[in-house]
Amino acid sequence: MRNVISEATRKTWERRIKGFWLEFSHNRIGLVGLAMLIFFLIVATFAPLIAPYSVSDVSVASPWHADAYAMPDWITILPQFRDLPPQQRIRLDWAIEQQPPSSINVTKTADMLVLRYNASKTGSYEPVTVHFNTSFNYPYLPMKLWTLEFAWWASPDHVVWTWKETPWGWIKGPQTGSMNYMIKIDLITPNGTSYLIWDQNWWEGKNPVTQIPPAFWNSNSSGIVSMFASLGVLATRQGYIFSDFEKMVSDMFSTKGLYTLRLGIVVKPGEIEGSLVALEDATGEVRVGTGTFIIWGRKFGLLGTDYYGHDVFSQIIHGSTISIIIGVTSALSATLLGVLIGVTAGYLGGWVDEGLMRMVDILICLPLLPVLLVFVAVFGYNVYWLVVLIAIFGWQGLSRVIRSQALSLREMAFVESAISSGATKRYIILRHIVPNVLPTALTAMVLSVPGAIILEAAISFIGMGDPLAPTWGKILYFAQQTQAFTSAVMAWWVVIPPGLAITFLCLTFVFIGHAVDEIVNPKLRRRR
Amino acid sequence: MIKRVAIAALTLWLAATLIFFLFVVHPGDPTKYLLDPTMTPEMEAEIRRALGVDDPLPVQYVRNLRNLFSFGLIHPYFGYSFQTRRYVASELSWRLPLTVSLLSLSLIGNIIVGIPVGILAASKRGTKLDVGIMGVGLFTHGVPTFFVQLLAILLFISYLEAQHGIEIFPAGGWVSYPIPQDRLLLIVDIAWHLALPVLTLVVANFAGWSLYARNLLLDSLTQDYVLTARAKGLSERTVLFKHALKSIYPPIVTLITLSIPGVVTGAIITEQLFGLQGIGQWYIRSISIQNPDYPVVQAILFIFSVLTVSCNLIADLMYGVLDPRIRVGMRR
Repeated sequence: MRNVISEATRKTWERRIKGFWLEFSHNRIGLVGLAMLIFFLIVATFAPLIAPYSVSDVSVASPWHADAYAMPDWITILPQFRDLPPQQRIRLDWAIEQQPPSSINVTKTADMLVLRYNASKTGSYEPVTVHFNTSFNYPYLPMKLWTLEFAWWASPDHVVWTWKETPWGWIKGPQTGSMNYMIKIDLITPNGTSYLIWDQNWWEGKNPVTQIPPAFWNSNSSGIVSMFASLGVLATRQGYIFSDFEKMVSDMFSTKGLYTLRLGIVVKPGEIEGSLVALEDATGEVRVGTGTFIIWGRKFGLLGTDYYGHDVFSQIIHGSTISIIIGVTSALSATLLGVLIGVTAGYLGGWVDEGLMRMVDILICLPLLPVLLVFVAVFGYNVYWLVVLIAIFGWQGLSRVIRSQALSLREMAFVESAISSGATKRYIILRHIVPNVLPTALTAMVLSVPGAIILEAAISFIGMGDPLAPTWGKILYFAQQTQAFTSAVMAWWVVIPPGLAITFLCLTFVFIGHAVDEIVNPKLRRRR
Repeated sequence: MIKRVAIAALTLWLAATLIFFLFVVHPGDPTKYLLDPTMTPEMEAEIRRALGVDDPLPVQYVRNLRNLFSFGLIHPYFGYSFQTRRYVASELSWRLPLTVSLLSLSLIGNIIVGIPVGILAASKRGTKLDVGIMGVGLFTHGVPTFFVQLLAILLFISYLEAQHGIEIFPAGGWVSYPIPQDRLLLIVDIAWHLALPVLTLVVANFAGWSLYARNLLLDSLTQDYVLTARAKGLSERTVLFKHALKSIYPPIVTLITLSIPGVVTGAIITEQLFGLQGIGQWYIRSISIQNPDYPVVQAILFIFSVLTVSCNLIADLMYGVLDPRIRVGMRR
């Protein structure tokens, strides 16, 4: 290449680029486009730093950040949304309500509440109830969903398995122990209404739809509770229709004020194999872990959340990287192909030209999106493959233009003199033809970026996108799939921001392309 | 002329071949939809034999070509859809008219709105109106059509209709239920259902046409013969409509036909979004990654190819008719 790019050529190019910049810097639209491009590049480069959540945090299966379709945080400037609840995790720090009788010994560690029962201390078979509570202020509109999370363990000191004889042999019957216990949690609203929201029988009822009175247990048991208000069982127990849990939750939290969660533990001496244990044997332990009461926020982040409760703002930020990469690389490779084939066909002519141009005729007739969809369906989607596909189907138009330019360049005097002074074909193509078609190619490249970006977005929007890549098209696809448009939701924040992001990224390249076009095609300037 | 037709035929043949081999290399088993665990091995073998999936490749290929190029008029009728369990051609017979009317209406809308606006801009070049039209044209280059449609749905369907009960456009589908019995009412009803899709397609795309028409017209306004016409003392109006305008028809006709593939692309997403049961929507339904309903995909892809190839052919031929300077067959 040494003989191709000489010192003189370098200087010529330097002058050309300087001249180009001089013209570009006087083009208002071009400068706006350039500023937008720099902005998008910064966002795309520093996406992991800008976005509050990582790519894996916002993928479908990850934990929620707030309620589904939570509104943007700043929506609270509107009066009707001023009291939307934010996302809250309330630590259940249980405080004992009143001093228990001497048969109960309560100790509290950092993450656990330990209740030790010893009936012989009071010498009574009567059940003993101990109440703990924890309160939180709730000055907001009702949320749509809450979750109660905690763990519990109960262990009577002496436990015996009962055995039953059946036609199939002896099988284990219920476990019986020296302590009977019952654990339950109530929610008490500011106006005094009390809802039983959890008790240990929750999953034990044979038919959870019917109301079952809280029953004592006396086996060694434990549980990790993650109780969503959306469990239809809860709504049924409170007297609502199975599917009407949102009404139940909004009724529960209809008043603003101090809410109390009340943990009740009832213990009494147990029965082992059908007979009441002696008082001195009636001992055991109940432990309740420190839990959380999660109020799923109705407002979250800069742009709210999607159906899966994930931050939309992070998804928009991460989407910029992929869109820019796909748009630029596929436009670049399509342009390279177009220049290569156009110059080859135009300069060499003959059967090479004929063959290549017939190929163009054929490829240009194929409907682009349907064909791409078939390729994606057959070979699977990944981002690189899509770039290759867009490049393969994107060069035909440009190659026709480049070919006609090469055809006319071939006949020019400077090419003829180069030929007569013994220049090789390679030299002429690289030194004379390519530099002269470069401005056209550059314009075409910049102007084909929006097409590639929109094509990728369309494929994602149809639902054939990369399941792992966070693209703007995919946000719109999920919005459409998950009823973002129903009147109750009207989640404009999962529709408008990604759409505007696509629009503005495309406009960036449209603006720059428009300016470049005006500079390299001086004829256009007369049109203004 | 013959060469053009030959190339068009060659393109269709290549498209058909491409479609065939894509599904040969596809790992999915085309009979999976039809087989179920209760079938005996004999029944499975019978189905496989009837579908001919175990035949040697050349036999399958020839059968496939014959199937596609008979355009669904003779026996295999484009094959048997695995999902709907009907002949593809019989489904197409009611889906295709819908797609074609959507496509043609939106194209006509774009032309009758876009081109006059472009001519207006060119005749008032340099004014605020011109700059505004150019700005809109540039802007719509960057807006995905489906975004405009999503916004329209959000505004007209979710907001006005569902929240305020103002029903300007129907919520989706291509006809109301119960289907109107009267023929005239049926046509009006279908037109009402197509209105929003067509309108959004026009709003999203017309300015591109304006920009193109404007630039063509300005190009011809700077030609020598226009200067001559002006020098003769003709009014600006006569110059514009009698002289300059004539030269922009050929490239516009080319653009119209060349834009058909793009319009097809738009129709696929439009049908999907508005729940119009055209062939685009059927295409997306049939084309799943694991188990494509390949007779359907094949047939629709072939129809799309026929559509674009014939439009390109018509464009080439029309160009010669409209522009006497160029005759097809002459060496350019």
